[in-house]
Amino acid sequence: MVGSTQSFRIQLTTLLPRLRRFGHALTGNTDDADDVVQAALEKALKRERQFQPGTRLDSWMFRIMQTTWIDMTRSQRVRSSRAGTMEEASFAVGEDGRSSFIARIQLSETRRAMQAMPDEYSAALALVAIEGFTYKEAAEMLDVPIGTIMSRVSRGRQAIIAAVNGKATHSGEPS
Amino acid sequence: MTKDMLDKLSAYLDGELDDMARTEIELALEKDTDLQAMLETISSADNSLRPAYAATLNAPIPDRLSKILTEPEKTSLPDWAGMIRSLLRPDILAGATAALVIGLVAGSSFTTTNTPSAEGFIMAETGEIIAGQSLATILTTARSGEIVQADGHDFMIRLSFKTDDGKYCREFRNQASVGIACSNTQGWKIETIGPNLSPPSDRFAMVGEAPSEISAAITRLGVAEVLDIDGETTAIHDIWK
Repeated sequence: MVGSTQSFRIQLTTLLPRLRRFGHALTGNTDDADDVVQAALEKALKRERQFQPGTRLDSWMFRIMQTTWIDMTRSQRVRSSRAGTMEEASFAVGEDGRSSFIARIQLSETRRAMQAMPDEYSAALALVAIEGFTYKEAAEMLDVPIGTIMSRVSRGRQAIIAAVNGKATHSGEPS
Repeated sequence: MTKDMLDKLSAYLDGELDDMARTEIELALEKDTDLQAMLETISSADNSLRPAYAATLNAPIPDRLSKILTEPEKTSLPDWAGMIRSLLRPDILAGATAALVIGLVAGSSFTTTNTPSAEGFIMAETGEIIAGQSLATILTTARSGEIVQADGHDFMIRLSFKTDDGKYCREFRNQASVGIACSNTQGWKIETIGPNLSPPSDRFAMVGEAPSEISAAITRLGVAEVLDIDGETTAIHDIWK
């Protein structure tokens, strides 16, 4: 189906902020994230008939994004820079300079660690720890057993801990 | 600490353990301060994850994304087969008439006229109503799904087809009107026109129920072939001859 209903488009519009966040966690930068979101939206509009009313549209879209990202990385249609491009402009409000600085480093290292880990780990961790899906839901989206999700989420968290603690120690903070 | 224990602590944090495993972890946590410290450390990873992407969540949506969802598709053709099937439904056929309706629509750019007009229609010597210059240009050159501006209005071609007797016809619409025009030796003959009664958000939808005037005209004309992208490209190139 090429055309799509207005209500379907409205639902997709309300999902856009979360799709971009998931894309950022998946790809490591906002430019690639928006490329993935754009490609996923175009696919979704063409496949609206495949979406089953009564099921979760966000799950359906995240799955499309995940496969789209795999396709893009396989064909190397990703941008060269993998640096994050979004700043936490308002994060320092109410905090002193030092803690704000440390917090910024931690966030930066968190993103760097997400970017450095294998895509299947970052996808599982993003779906569970950021988007709030259950292991079962994430397993269905990524088409893997629940035990695999459990392991990937745990490994992903360990990678984040190692990255953040390493940088905090380097910055004079206790690990 | 074993990988298995780390996985269980992580799953415990996510509320994903069954009752037995959860009880086992909670008993262990009561006795083991290292385990407590590890649980806190694992929890701290999540404390930085959501804030790490909060800026992206709260950032303005780029135009290139929002436009995909707010603008009609411009590069693809509609589900031709499905559209024709819906147009040829028996209940629509039963109520179909071959009426030619002109000038029904208040606010439309289409006007009935006996003289050539850039924005209205032309009454030919044969008594036929043919498209004025602006509409004729759109009918001749625009691709289906493309929004074209003329005379201060957006126009879209929704469907191109060939009739049983070999004529090329196109369904067109603007915010206020819908119609069908077929190519002949004098230009584009208006076969029917009626009000676009769709809600404003759907007035340029590529699929959906067609007004009864359109359904009736399509039935009357007889659809031998609905043009796909290639067929439409060829017809535009050959000026619909």
